[in-house]
Amino acid sequence: MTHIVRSVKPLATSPIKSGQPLGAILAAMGLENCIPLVHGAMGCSAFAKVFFIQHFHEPIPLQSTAMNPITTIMGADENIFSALSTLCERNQPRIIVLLSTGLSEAQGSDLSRALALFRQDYPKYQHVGILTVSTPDFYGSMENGYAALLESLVQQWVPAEPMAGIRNKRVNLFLSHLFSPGDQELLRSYVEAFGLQPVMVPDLTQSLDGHLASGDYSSLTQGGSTQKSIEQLGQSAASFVIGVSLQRVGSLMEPRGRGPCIRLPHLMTLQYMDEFILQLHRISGREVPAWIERQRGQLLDAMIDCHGALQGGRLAIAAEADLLRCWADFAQSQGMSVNNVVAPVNQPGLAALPVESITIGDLEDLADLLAAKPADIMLANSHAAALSEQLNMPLIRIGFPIYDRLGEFRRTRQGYAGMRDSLFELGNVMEQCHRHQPVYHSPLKQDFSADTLVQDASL
Amino acid sequence: MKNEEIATLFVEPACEHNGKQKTGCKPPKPGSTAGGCAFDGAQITLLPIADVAHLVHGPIGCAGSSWDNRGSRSSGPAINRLGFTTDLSEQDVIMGRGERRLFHAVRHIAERYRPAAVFIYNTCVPAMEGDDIESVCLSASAAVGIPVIAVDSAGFYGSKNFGNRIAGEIMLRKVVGQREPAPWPRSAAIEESRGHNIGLVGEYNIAGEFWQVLPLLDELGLRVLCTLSGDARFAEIQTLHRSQANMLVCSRALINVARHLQERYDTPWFEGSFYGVREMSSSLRQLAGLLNDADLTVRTEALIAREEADVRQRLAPLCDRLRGKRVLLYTGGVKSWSVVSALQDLGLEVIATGTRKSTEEDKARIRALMGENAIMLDEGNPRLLLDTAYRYRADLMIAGGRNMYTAYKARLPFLDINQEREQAFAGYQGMVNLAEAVCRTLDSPVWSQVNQPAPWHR
Repeated sequence: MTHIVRSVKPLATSPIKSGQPLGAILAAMGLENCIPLVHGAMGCSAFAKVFFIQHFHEPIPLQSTAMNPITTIMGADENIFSALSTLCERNQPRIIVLLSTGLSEAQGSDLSRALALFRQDYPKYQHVGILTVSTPDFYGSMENGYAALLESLVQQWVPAEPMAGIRNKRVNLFLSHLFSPGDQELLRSYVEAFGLQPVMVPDLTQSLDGHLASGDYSSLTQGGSTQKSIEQLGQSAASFVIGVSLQRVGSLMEPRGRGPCIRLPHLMTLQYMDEFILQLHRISGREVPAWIERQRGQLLDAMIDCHGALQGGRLAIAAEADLLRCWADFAQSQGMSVNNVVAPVNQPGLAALPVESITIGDLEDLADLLAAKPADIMLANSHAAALSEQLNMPLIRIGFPIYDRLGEFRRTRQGYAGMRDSLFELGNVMEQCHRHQPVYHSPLKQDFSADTLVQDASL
Repeated sequence: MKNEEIATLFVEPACEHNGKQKTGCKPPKPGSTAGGCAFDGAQITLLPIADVAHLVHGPIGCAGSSWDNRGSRSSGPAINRLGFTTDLSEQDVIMGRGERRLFHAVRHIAERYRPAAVFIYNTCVPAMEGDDIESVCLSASAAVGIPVIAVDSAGFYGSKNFGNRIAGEIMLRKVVGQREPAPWPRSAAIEESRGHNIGLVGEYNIAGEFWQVLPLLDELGLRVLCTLSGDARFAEIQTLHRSQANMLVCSRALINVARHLQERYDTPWFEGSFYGVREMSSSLRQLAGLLNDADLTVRTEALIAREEADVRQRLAPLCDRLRGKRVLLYTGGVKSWSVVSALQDLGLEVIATGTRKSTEEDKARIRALMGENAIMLDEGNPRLLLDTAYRYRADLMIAGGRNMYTAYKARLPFLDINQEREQAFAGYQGMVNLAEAVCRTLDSPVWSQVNQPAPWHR
């Protein structure tokens, strides 16, 4: 059983935690023609906007209800109405995600009541799907906010009883924040290879994959799951719920869906990835396509090629719980150990991690852990760059935000291909910090510096 | 090199293979070769000499695919890590411009890198054309003021082993005996009167592994005048004739060097190995024995006792994990038995060993170690290796790098023990490294995963 160590510090120093609203905003980026609306002060959206722009190198549609001192005290529902109508009028979104913050939650704002009033007063915006989600900063972390949005989606938009008819070719994929747009693209290709049609919730491959579209700037997300496809989730042949943090999404989906609900923690071990492909094979009744077999073979080959470099390697990880689970399992399956683990907040899944102990804390705690017990590679977000430099320890960037690397936002780590590439990356890093036999200078080695002139001329 | 010179080199009275036919070791068989050519052999023998510029005279094929790919390490200069080649073009070949190009190449190297000497390796194309390397060496040496030495080692002269021998021969003829040793260092812990000078022929300091042995020799007051050629300097090779005893380290190919040194300078020699606890101790004992110094013998025994006790203690937990694991060993020559003994020291069971380059004497030693029914593989083709591994249920294959992917494609754990490896296996510490390396690969969880069929095929 994993020992969870709670910090007794009165503060967080160099935190790895980011708040719930960020998670909800990230998930909202995977909905089509959507703009998230943060119910809070201007800064609540401004900071989040910069956070994601730096990470994805993309414009991020985001607005706030701009609460001020008066509305904060007197009630800010008017701000919600005015913000919603402005957005509907000016940006013509298909979906608005209305999310709360520490400020609005502490104030006691009731988003669903406000939404009901808005619907009454503004019937002309009936066609705009508006989703509410409660994401106060003072609870949980980004991971909780992300999951909260998916839970709201299922609760508010998927009918409680499955609609008539089953769509045999359709498969739902509820994906944790640990899937980058690149990972999602790869998953889509796996599912499509079986003749199935994936509905990814959220679908970042259309909005944050980093592509230059034909038009210019858009104030809304440029692609993603549609409200209609979400309303039909119950008719799909099966649902995959991938990510420990999405447990509750799975239990909400199960009674609403006709197909089975398959839960996987991640797709970063051979075992889970094989399970994923096996299920697709069963659902579709089709043979596993040759290219997937080949990619699997490439992974096996990479595992062998890299095992010499990786076996016994020691990782230090500071990240959200889903990422911890994914990297800890991956490390274990490749012969590495996870020596030092820091999580931003306690999560139900943490106790099941294959590690000795987990510290709930920050990068200062990680530094302390590393001082007590060294590791070879550090895995964390870009904030750990300074620590990695200071300790002269290589850093593999995972999680959010990654603001000092190009292209990292879409790096593929899941699936056969993602695992293969991650193995090579880690293997190279381990090789670089491989300690060579230290040079030995023999005290008896002949020293000819005194007679450099004596050379045999006949040579 | 003329035919009769080649024939002369095949005569090696110290070698058991020195039969009537004078063909030396088995000649390469067209369509079924394994291993490199004479150029390859000559180059790898000398390339570790760190302050020498190694210039390959020929088109790009020879140097281009072989420079800087060996694990031999230097404690000082690293000119040997640079790849120099005349990179002959079609026009050079047709117009016969090779010699002039070679001369200017030496000049460029000498001016820019100031090596202690330049070695010129002749390769097939200029050898066939008839470039006069020797006279280029003379004029270039006069022009740049450092020794320029031809190593006539065209690939078609013969096998890699033969190239090793050419390299040894050139060192004997042109380098050894040209300089007196440097004075014994005054600050040394053991003064000159109690010390001895020794030579190590065929020690390449792969992955720096000799640095696990050298401190022990220093402690005993055994000054290594020169190794041929790991971490060596040109001037050290020049003093090799003054060694009081030579050890031929795991290399039959350079047996001519040890024999010539004995004939010319009366230096006693023996053949030994630094791999394995037993072999390491035995080599130290034999060195002390040849030097015939009672005080040294006493100090050597004390050192052996101390080191063996220490290494036993450190190996014990590792050996527990390795006991009874079955190993297929495939490596050349002397290593075929010296590594067997090293692996047995670790509690591993050696099910078969390669004997492609082994002598009858080597094979006798194998039988002594592995029993009369020891399986010996005279040929190392991948099919035979794998079939043997399957038949005798090997847990692990230990061989040279070229076989690594043969094993890996068969999902069989593997350990590389040849020149290209990155781990230091020599000496007492080397055994701990070896045991750890074997444990590391056997412990890896990837084997169970890659040996299982995908669930949709079960």
